[in-house]
Amino acid sequence: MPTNSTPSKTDRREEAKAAAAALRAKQQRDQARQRTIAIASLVALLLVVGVLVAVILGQSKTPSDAQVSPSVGSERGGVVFDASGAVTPPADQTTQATDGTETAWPVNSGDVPVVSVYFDFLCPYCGQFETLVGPTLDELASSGEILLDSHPVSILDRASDGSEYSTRTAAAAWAIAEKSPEHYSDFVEALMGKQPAEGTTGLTDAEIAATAVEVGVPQDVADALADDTYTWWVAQATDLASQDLGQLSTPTVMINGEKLDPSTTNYFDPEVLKATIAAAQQG
Amino acid sequence: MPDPLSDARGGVSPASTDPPPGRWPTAQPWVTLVLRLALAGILLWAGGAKIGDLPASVRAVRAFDLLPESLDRLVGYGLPMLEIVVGLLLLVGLLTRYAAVLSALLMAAFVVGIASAWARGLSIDCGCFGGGGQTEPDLTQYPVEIVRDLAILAGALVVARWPRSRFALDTSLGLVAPSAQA
Repeated sequence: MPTNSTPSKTDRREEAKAAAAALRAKQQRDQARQRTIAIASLVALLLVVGVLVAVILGQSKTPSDAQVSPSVGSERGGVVFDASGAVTPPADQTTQATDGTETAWPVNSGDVPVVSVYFDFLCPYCGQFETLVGPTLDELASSGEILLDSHPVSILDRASDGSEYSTRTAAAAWAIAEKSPEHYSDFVEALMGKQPAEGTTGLTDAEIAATAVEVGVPQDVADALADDTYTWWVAQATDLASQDLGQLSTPTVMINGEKLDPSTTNYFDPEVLKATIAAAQQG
Repeated sequence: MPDPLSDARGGVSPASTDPPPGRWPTAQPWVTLVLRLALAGILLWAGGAKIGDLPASVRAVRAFDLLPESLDRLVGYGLPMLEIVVGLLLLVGLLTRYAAVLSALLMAAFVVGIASAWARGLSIDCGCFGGGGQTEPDLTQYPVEIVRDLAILAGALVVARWPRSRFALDTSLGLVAPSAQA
């Protein structure tokens, strides 16, 4: 029990105790802060490294040795058909409209309208579009009334139960566009005719090759469809399409670079599409 | 052992400015634990769904049409990783307050992005849990997405306000003062 006989001594002891406690508390807080800073820096560093690695890996857009860009591929990732078949892109793919604005080839490259179609082989509406309108577009292209700018892209890989059906089929289409272009549209139509349901693995590589042979693709070309040559290009072409369209969805149809709005233009109807193309021709 | 903090401040606990009447002091570390783990689960799910297909993540960001191309790419690649890192921090209870503040900021950014897409009449899926991109106008779910993100935002703010929780590395590593009634 404390007494009041030596108040100054007690006071000093209390003060010393309080000072020591304050110092201890400060040290504890400093240590905690230092640990927080150290751990936060480590976490931030790991995050930055992770993002950098991913961005670098993602932007390594040089194909590996076995992978090439198809010579028929436009700068914007389309394969273009006119009356003579697949068109080799010009060296300079910048074209000018009459008002002077620059666009990417094939838009504004000639007198006929350019019809661009973006599709994924797993997308059900793309299958319908190809069945209903594909033959009409092929006729218009082979009669020289339009330039058909076909963009097989891959946005539905996640809906093929791990088989990456969209990428495999788009890569096969690009290989045929490159090596056997006269069979390209028949191949697209035939493959759409066998379109699997979303969520299933879809056709095997062998079944895709057999489909190619059925429409006349030479056996050696068909055998090489699954050799990974154009998977890189499919990713690239898909990214280009996404950049050009903003919201990349399939099917997307553009006439002379103008997106058709499905709510006002029923482009699944061949007659409506023909009329829209004719209007673009006059305009 | 006396609490050095209360000794140093003349017995006035800094926590006395909180409104902790009744059972809140006892319940709070458990409430924070539940919210912390729920946030962690949501973020890990969202990040995990995106990180398997980073090009799709870039396309989903691009579909919002808000950022320049270079930032679309950076956000598309960086966001899934950020979500996973913040989710892991919340899962183990490390740097809880900072992780919760980051989560709240992310949710606020998502709400702004979705509201902006809605206001501009875009028809997109937010791609919050993978996928994303354009969708049919009658399939957009902007109100649901916004309410959901606001609810997550509220949870994150609670964790940021009361970061101390049970089973947290913060406590084990001495990053926060040990629980007052422990």
